[in-house]
Amino acid sequence: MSGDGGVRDPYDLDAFDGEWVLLRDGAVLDHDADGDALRARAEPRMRPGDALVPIGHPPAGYHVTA
Amino acid sequence: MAARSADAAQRGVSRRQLLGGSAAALGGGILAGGLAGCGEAHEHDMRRPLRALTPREAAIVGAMADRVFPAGDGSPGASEIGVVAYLDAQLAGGWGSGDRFYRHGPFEEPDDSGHGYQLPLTPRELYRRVLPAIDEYARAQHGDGFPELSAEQQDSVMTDLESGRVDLGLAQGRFGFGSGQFFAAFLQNVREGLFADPMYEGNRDVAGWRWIGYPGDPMAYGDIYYTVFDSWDVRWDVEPQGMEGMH
Amino acid sequence: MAVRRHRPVDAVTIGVGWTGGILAAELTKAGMTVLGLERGHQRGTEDFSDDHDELRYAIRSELFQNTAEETWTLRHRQGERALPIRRLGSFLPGIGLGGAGVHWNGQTWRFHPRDFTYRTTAEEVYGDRIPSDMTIRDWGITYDELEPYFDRFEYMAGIAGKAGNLSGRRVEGGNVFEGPRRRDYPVRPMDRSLAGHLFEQAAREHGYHPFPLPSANLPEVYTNPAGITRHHCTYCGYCERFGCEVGAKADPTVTVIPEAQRTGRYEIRYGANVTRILHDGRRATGVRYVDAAGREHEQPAEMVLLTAFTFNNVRLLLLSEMGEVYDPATGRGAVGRNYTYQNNGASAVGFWRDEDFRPYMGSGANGVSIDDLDAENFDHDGLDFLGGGLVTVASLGVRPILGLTVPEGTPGWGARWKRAIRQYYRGTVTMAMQAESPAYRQHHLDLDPTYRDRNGDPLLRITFDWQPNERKLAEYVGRKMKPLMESMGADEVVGGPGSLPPHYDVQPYQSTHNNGGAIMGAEPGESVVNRWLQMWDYDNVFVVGASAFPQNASFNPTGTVGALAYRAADGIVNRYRHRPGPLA
Repeated sequence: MSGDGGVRDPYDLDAFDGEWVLLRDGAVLDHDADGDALRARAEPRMRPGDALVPIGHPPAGYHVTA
Repeated sequence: MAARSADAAQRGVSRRQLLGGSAAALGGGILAGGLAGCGEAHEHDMRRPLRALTPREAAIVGAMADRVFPAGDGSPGASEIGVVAYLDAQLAGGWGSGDRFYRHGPFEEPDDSGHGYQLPLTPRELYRRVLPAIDEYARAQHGDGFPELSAEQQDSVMTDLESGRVDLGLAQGRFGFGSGQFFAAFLQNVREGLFADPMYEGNRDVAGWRWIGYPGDPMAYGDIYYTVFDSWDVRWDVEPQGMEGMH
Repeated sequence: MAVRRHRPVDAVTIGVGWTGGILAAELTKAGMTVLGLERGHQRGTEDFSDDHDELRYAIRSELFQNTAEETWTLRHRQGERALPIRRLGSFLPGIGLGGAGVHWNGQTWRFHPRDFTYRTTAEEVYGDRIPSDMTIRDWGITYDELEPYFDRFEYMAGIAGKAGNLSGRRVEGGNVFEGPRRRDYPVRPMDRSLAGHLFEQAAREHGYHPFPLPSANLPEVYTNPAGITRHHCTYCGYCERFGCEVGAKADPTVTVIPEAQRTGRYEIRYGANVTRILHDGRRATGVRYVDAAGREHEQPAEMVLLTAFTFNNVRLLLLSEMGEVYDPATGRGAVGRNYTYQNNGASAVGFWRDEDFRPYMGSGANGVSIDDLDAENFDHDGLDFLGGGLVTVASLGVRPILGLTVPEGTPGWGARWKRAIRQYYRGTVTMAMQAESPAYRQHHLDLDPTYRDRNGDPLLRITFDWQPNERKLAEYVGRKMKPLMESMGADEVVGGPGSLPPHYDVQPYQSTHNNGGAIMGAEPGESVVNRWLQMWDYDNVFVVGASAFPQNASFNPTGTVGALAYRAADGIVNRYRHRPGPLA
């Protein structure tokens, strides 16, 4: 985990709301507010099935359509 | 302004009561306070008696709404546009009583996000509980009730509400109902009061629609958008009209 | 109080929306007596003259189910306690004559050929990249077998569009990725808005293949094969969540229900809430329902047709104890399995300071789409998710209470917000993604152990959440959308990698494309209905609707639901009626 004071449950996606995460088998292995920074350090060690994705409510405009 | 004198009128009556004057004097005092009280209801830009909110609640709602959509840039603010009257009428009606809520228990606070509203409180009950809590928070933080604060102080309280810092006594854990949830619901109600058809008592004189350039009910123009839909240069700058014009 | 018994009918439909209406029309035309039991009330075009009222219809849910009486519970995973969806939000099921067919937007599609053989396709294309908990399946029917029924639905409804594949011949200007159709749409595409035009240009610049969004809202007067004539759309911008006061929107009440009614063999009873399907373990004998006064009735019928929308179809099977209930732990059973939804986790919004798009003019299915970022239409090399999404710029009509959007960084209230909504209301365009929703072993529908409806019956429980596959898909497609909006010429663009919330959220509206729970398949065991939507376990019961979808594709479901309904009707009228028994 990147340095933060509190210990977060890696299976608790709510704790990472608004950040980018590296997910494997439902657990957050690494996270960062900056997706590019996370990608730079995480991509080399990614395995098939991993997800490098942002967590959070979609940007403005999401609910306007359909 | 209106809120300030409403509060003063109430305090005035209390002082007279404490002085223990004669019944006639007391009656006169109460009558005077009562007359002032009648005037106050109209000074929240209500233009009619209240049906759900108390005068104090209306004052708080009006002051909060006027921070969401302040007067300025050539347009009136939210309470002058009728947002307080709108909300008062809605709270007095079916929606205010939770007519479309599933209100069977057990009521549990969620353990994760995404479960929506889980309180047993109807909108009317929620406002009744939260508005005094906001008033109390304002006093604790800034020394006076919310409507009496300066605009900057009011914005500070609103920001605290928005970020979940105000304890409404309704949440136990992370996913309980916090002041941020209330604030989001309040913003939605203000937008309704600004932009619903004027027959719902907000959007007075179509001031909300005029502000953003929304023309209102297309039936008022003969339902003819199809004649200009793909003529992109044709503007439709009209005086907005609501549904009542059709009747 | 005594239960009132009625005279038997040839077929009873539970609910009178699109599927109930299509079956009523086809069966009554063939000489069968049909009874439609609708728990809502009657309504029609003439009721909507005062319906340009955003508060009443779009916010106070005038035309939708009332959760106070009956709702659903939601949990994100096995073992969690489900909580009631106490207010409508994420989806807006209909009630009343016509069901959600009255208040839908009208976007009408045919699923791709590959959608019907998704398991087979996925194993070929993705191999061991398919997540181990994904339970996508083939439907047991092919696009080619459904093609005639798509055609029938489109001509009945008067779908406005442009073909992209005529019997294998690629036609530029249509959706060049679509399955082959025997003939073009019955009606020309809708008029084009400026926003749609700018998107079309930008899409071509980027090498994509834009085409008009296929619409059930008529751009011109149309008379369908049944001789029903409807007026054209006025682009009033009050489509989804509203009834159409001119009858331009294809809606069961102005198409198939009148078709059924003129046969004289169709009866509709309103306020009739079906609570159980009556059966003896091998055959259904009819249904039990509660009327508006709370009295119980028994309605015998030769055939019982579940046409009550995904949730109610599945819930009735569960309450009536028909079929084996799906157990996610063992994988046994089929009723309730493969519940899916719709992934809308990417968008791009453009803000123009000096352009007036007249956003209040619109229609529910007016727009331009690209299918290039969908399915296997693009190269998935190096990508770790299945399929993709439809990308559309639509001019639906932006209404002022719910539709205001401001650039990133603008506060949600205050003087700056006030100025921003004035500056940008007329100059805002939204680009949306609608992506597929694959099935997972752990997502299903069953009966809630705690919460009940006002009759005392358990509510339907939904177990569903977003999985990494959907997050990766949204992230990727979102990144492709922002440059498109920039090419459209916006002064400011909000967009980028798409994202989904930490958990599926029942509160904001997303989509009413709820699917599965009574899925179709080639073999019994892991499906509930066969290729004719006939139950494996009960020959005289058909379960018709998106409940049959083993998983959801990117496109809106109604076209495919309509095609399946016409096919079920064909099976009943031309096969079952002459020789009752299993059709597959």
